[in-house]
Amino acid sequence: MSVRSAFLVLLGPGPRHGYQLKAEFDDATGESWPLNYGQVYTTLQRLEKAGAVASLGEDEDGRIRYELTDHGREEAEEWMASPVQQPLASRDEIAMKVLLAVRTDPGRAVAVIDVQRQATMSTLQTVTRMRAEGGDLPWMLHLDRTAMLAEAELRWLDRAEERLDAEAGADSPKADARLRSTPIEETT
Amino acid sequence: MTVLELHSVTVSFGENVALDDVSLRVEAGELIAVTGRSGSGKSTLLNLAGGMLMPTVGGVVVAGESLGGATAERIADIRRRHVGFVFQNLKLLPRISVAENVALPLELHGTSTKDARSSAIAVLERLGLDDRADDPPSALSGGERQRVAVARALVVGPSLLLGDEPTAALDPTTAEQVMKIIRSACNAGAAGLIVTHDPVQAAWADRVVHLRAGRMGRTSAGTDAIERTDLLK
Ligand SMILES: Nc1ncnc2c1ncn2[C@@H]1O[C@H](COP(=O)(O)OP(=O)(O)O)[C@@H](O)[C@H]1O
Ligand SMILES: [Mg+2]
Repeated sequence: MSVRSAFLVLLGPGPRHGYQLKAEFDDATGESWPLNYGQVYTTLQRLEKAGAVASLGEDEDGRIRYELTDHGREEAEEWMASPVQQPLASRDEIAMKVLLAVRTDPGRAVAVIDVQRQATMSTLQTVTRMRAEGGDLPWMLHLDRTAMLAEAELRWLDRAEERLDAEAGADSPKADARLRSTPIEETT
Repeated sequence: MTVLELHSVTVSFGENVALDDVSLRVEAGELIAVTGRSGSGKSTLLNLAGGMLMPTVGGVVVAGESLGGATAERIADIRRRHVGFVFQNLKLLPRISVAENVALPLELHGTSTKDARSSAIAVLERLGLDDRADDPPSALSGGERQRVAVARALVVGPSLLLGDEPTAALDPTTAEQVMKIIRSACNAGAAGLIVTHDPVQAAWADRVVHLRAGRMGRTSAGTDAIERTDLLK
């Protein structure tokens, strides 16, 4: 996503100058995306050139305020209204590592999974602790998302390990034992 | 203070090696989660920790007392004094109230009915269930029943809290409530060992150990706090 789309959306409620836009952007995103003033002003200049915003001239403090043009309003609306097409996970580095290990050294793949599981679980532990501590709304939304992505990754790693073991059949550790295993009764 | 020690334990059922050379120490105040898929040895590990099973090789020490060579009565005594259990589906006794169910372990240990009841009410209060104290178990939802199961484990003030899939039958919100209760029991000084196949529940632990075919993989222990600017990397 681009800062351009963000600014168009933030200008929706009314004219703003660059300083205000940066402050609102920081606030809305929970300060997870630091912007510098250079970026703020080049973005505004580009938007003006493209006819998406119009300058209202300097105010008494010498700051230039901008407002959306009809064209800019349309672009903001279109951006908000369309779904984001996330790239399918196939080029994800973790998946790649596992797939390459499977090709070159299948025994190694389970070790790759174990290392990754430890790292991702550590992240999920940290995020779980931070979620329990609470925080402002943008922060909590970010943490929820980070936790759920970590969860999905862990579930995928578990599934990958299961598939690898099934593929390896009787060569995998205790595969034959597992086939014979029966659930035990819970003692109460 | 170390509450639970497993020293290179191996458990074999005939030719089936359920646990293979596993070592683990759990300190007071620490919550450990054990993950791994079905048949990986999680329940076996928990049963060892609770003295319900003896290792084929290796030693188990609970609250400084070695279970190796101890008589059944001695083990029962150690368990009674130190260990609280939470299982996936605790069957509450249907004909007595929630508070009476929670008080039961104390009464079995010789506490007077009156004292047992006031301890039970205190624990139920901590778990937000005091208004259900005099209801029959049948009046509770599944989530409430599982919290009562946790209450029953906590009422004895265990130094070691053991849970075998304590949240497996619960919806995510109720599961989180139960894990928070277990977490705060550990923050208050208990050592916790919880078995779960669910990474979300495991993540409440200080350390997560993963079992694979009876062997221990790597342990995860959390990372440094995440900063706001880390989130968009
Ligand atoms: N009492 C028992 N008798 C024989 N085999 C058992 C017994 N308990 C567990 N096992 C075997 O030990 C292995 C580990 O089982 P368990 O600890 O129940 O795994 P988990 O709880 O991770 O699903 C499995 O192969 C299981 O069949
Ligand atoms: Mg089990």
